[in-house]
Amino acid sequence: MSKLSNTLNATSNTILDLIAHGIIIVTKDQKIVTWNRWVADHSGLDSEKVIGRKLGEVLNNLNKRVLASIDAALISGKSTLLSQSFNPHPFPLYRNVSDTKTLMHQKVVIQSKVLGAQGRVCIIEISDYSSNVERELFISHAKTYLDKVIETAQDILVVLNQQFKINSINAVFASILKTAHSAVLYSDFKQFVFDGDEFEKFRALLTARQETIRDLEVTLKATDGTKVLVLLTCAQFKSLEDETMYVITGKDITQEVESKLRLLQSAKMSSLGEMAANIAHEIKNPLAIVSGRVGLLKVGLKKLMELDDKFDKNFEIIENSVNRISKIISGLSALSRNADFDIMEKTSVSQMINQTLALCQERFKYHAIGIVVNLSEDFQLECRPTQICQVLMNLLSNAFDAIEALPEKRIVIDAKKLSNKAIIGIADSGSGIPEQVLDRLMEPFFSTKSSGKGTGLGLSVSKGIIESHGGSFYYDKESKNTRFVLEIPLENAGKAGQKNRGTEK
Amino acid sequence: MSITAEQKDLIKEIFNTGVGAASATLEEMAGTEVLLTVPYVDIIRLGDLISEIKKSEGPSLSAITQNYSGPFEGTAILLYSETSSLKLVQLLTGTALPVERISEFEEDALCEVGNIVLNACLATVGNIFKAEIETELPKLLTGSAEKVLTLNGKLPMDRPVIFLKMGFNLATRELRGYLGFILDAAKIEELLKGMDILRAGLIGE
Repeated sequence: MSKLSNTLNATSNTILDLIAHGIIIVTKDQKIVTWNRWVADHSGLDSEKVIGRKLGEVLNNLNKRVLASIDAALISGKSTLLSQSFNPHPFPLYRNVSDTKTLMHQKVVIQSKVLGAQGRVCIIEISDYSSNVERELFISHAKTYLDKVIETAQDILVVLNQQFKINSINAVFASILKTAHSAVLYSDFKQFVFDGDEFEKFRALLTARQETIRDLEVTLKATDGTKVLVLLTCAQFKSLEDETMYVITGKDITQEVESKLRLLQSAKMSSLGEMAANIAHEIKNPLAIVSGRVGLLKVGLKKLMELDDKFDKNFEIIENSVNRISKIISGLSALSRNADFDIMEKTSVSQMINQTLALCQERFKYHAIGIVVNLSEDFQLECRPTQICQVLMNLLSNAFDAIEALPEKRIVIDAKKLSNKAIIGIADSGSGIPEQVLDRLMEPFFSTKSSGKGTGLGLSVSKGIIESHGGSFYYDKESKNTRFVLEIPLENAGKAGQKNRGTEK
Repeated sequence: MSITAEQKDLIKEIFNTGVGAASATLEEMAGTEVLLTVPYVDIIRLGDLISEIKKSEGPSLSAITQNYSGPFEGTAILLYSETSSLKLVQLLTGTALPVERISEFEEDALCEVGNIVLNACLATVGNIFKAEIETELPKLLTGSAEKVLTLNGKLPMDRPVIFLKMGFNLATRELRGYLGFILDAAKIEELLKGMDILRAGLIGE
C-alpha cells in the first residue's frame, strides 16, 4: 500500500488538490489511496483520516450503481458515467457536515487504470452540477412561461425573422391557416399570403420602416386555399444576433369584410333597380302617347285615301315595334325588381327561357350571335321566376360580352330534368375561363371586363339567388367552352313560405 | 467478409443477453418498464451502413461512441435518429424538451444510457470469451450519418462493421436504435472463429 502511495507521489497530490472537482482513487480492494482537497472540503473529512480505509466504510451510504460501477472498473476495466439527468445517485459527501446542505446534483465518472506493477486502481471523479441544474431549470421555466403566453394569446401572433421565415406562431393563427404550428415553423411566410405581389409590398413596407405599422389589411391563404382577410399590426426589434425580428399581431376580419360587402352589394342592387324602374316609368308615358297617336294616324289616313299594302305593312311594323318596346320595359321593370320576397311558383322552364330571350334577342341578332335552345321536353320548376330570369339574363349578358369580338359567336342554352333537379346550362362559344381567374369568379365586385363594362356583381348575385332556391350555381370545368350551370331542386315548396316571413337571410 | 446464419444467431443471442442486463438497470433509473431487443445482425461495410442509416433515420443523428480494448479493440456506437434520441431522453427524464437544441442535461442522459447499454453488451461478450473488455468513457457525437459513423472522419469507408438493429420499448413507446461495433477485418475474423469454437463447444462436437 505504501508503494502505491509512493507511486502517486507528492507532486501529483499537490496537483490533485488544486483541481476544482473531487478525485478519489481506490485500489483493487477498495482502499482509499487518494482523497483530494475538494473531496475533503465537501465531505468534512481530511485525507489523513481516510487514506488506507475502505471506501464503503468512509462513505457508508453508497448507491448500488456506484458500487457496481466501482467493481466493474476494478475487475474488468469498464468506465462509467453517472450523471444527474436521472434520479440522483447519492454520493453523500456531506454526511459529516451540516444536514441542510446536501450535494444533490453530482456528475460522477468512474474509470480504472492499471498502474505499474500494483495492478488496477479505480479513479472516481466528482463534479458539482448544482448550478448547472439550477440554470437549466430556470431556462426551462422561462421557456415554458413564454410558450404558455404565446399559446394563450387570443389574437393572431406570429414572429418572423429577417428572412421572413416563421420563428414563432401561436395556436390561434395556426388554426386560422388550417395547419399545425409545428408544421410551419421556419417555413416562409410568403406561402401564406394570397398574392405574391402583396407579399412583396408587405415585405418592402416592413423593411423600409422601423416604427410600428398599424391596421394593415392583408389577404392570406390558408393551407386549403381559402382566403383569410386579416388586420395586422407589425412591430420590430433587434435580436441578440443583431437580426431584425418582426412581431406581428392582428385579427381575422374575413367575416366582417364579407358582411360589409354584402350590404354594399344589396345597396347597389337596389339603387340600380330603382333606376331601372324609374327609366321604365319615364318611357312608358311617351310610348303610350306614340302608340295612341299611331293608332289615330292609321284611322285618319285610311279615311283620307286608299291605303295600299305597303302602308298597312308599315303601320304593322310600327305597332309591333311599339309592342316590343312595351314588353321590354315590362321585362326591364320585372328584371330590376327585388324579387327576394316573391312566392315560389311552379313555372315552365321554356317560358322563363323565352321571356328572357325576348328581352335581348334583337341585340344578339344584330351582332350575329346565334342562340340555340336545347329543351327536349318542357317541365315545371318551382321557383321565383323573376329571379331565375335575372340569372339567365346575367349569364346571357356575360356571354355576349365574352364572344362579341370572336369569329365564332354562339350561345347554347340547355335544360333538362335529372332525378329531382332541374339542370340548366348556358354555354358560349368562347374557349373557357382561365384557371387563375376561376376561384375568384363568384366574388362580389370581381370582374375581368374593362372598366365601365359590367359591375362584377352578376355572378355573385346569381350564385346567391340560386342558393336561396336550395340549388347550386357553378362553372362547368369539363366543358371546353365557357359554361355555367344552374342546378335547382324541382320542388321548393318548403322554401315558399319562408322568404315571405323574412326568416331567410 | 460474410457471416453465416448460425454465427448471426449466436451474436444475436449474446447481445440479447447483454441488452437484457442493461434494460434492468435502465428500468430502475426510468422507473418504468424497459424492454430492449436485438432482432437483427449483420456485417456490413461502413460506407454501405452509412447509406442505409441515412435512408431510414434521416439527416440528423445522435450517437454515443465508446472505445474499447482487450481481446478485441475498436469503437462501439449506439446510434439514434435525432428525434428518437430526444424522445428517449424525454421518456427517461420525464421532461418536456426544448425544440432546438439538446442541453447539457440531455447530452449526459444520452451518454449515460449509451454507457449502460454498451458496457453491458461488452461485458457479456467478454464473459463468453472469458476475457475482459475495457471501455473508455462515452462521448456524444451528433450530425450527419457520415460524420457520426466515421467518427468525425477518422474511419475509412471500407471498414467492416458488425451492426445490430436494436429496439427500445419504454413505457409503451417504441424507439429504434442501432448498435455498431467497428472492428478491423482481422479482428472480426477472430471473433467469428471464436464464436464457431464456442458454438462447437455448446453443441458438444
